Amino acid sequence: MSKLKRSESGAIMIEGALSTLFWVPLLLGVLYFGSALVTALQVVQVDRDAGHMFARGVYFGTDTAGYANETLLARLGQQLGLASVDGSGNVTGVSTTGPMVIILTKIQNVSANACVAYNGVVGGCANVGDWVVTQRLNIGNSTLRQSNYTPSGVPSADLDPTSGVVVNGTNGNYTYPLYLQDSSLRLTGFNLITISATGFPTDTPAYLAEAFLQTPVVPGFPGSGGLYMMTIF
Amino acid sequence: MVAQATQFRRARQKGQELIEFTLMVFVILGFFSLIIDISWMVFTRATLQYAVREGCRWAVANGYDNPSIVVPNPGNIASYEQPLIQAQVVATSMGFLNSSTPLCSGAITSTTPLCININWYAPSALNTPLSITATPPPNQSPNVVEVDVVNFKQTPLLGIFIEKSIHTFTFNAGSADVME
Repeated sequence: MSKLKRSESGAIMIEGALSTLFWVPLLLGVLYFGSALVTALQVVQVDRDAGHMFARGVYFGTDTAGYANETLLARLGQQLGLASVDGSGNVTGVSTTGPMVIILTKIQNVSANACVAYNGVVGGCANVGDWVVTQRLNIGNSTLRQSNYTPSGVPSADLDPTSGVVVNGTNGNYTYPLYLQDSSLRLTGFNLITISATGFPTDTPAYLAEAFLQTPVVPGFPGSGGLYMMTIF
Repeated sequence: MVAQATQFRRARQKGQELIEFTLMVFVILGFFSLIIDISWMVFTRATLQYAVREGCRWAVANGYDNPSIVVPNPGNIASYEQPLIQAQVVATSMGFLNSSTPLCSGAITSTTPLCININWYAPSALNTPLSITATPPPNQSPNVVEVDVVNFKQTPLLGIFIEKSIHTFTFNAGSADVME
């Protein structure tokens, strides 16, 4: 009897230590996913706010006026690292070196009528029937991620570097937007919106807002390293 | 002799399990405390985010030209509407905020005390809040409304690992949209 008790000495400690190997990672996982969930909610909200304002015509270009407007987005995403702050902690603008980027894209499906309206365009309208990018703006640290809807040529030379709007070409006395024929602006394979007579019409802009937040890579947690959200208006 | 040794060993082992159990309980409780406190912070953050989103949504849908709002003083509708937006934020904040949480407006700085900050902006100048007493009233399309909860401080619930008296967490939450 006494030998048995002696062999049991420290058993609880050992069992506890062994079970720790199970429940500590479990609890840390719960914490990680809980925290990631709330962060994801914040990213969604900033993304949606930015996208809705963009769709309603708020200007977020890279010039002085646009940058001032971006400051509002910086405030909304301050706790996500979207803002640059001064020494006193006041938001001064969007951080271009932080862990977050918001990509705003205006797209539309080109109809044959659009081409006719511009007198046929020199060389024809190669993009009839295609979704094309007509505006693209990167807010924040644009080196973090490209848009999921980036055609090979975007950001293209045909997009104004300040406003992100596609520039015009000329056809005799006519000017026409280059998205009618610049194949590098096509969104090949884009199928999130279906064009139909009773549904979404051609030549009507749709607005994509993508947000990406860089997060620490946690070994063993698939998907760690970044949160990506996209909304369409 | 053998019986004496056994008795001595038993006496020595008395309470050993209790000590081991106690040590383990402290570790386990510490971890649970950590879990609860971090969850509390996560919950706070999510709730404030939800509250400002609801407040902003209400503000967007109930602007100057909304006929459902009976305005006692049409010349000052924005300042009249601010407490209504504040009430929406408070109502959806699950008790974190209350009616005594002050309203504020104007630029937010790091020294702004706890308040519900409500501002309207012209869409071309989103860093310069419009005066709430301006004419025409700022709370109408196509202006932008921003609703923030500024400098909300939260202390840990249990505070075993995160000491209550040392760690206070500060949260800001904001939402903005174009007036409808």
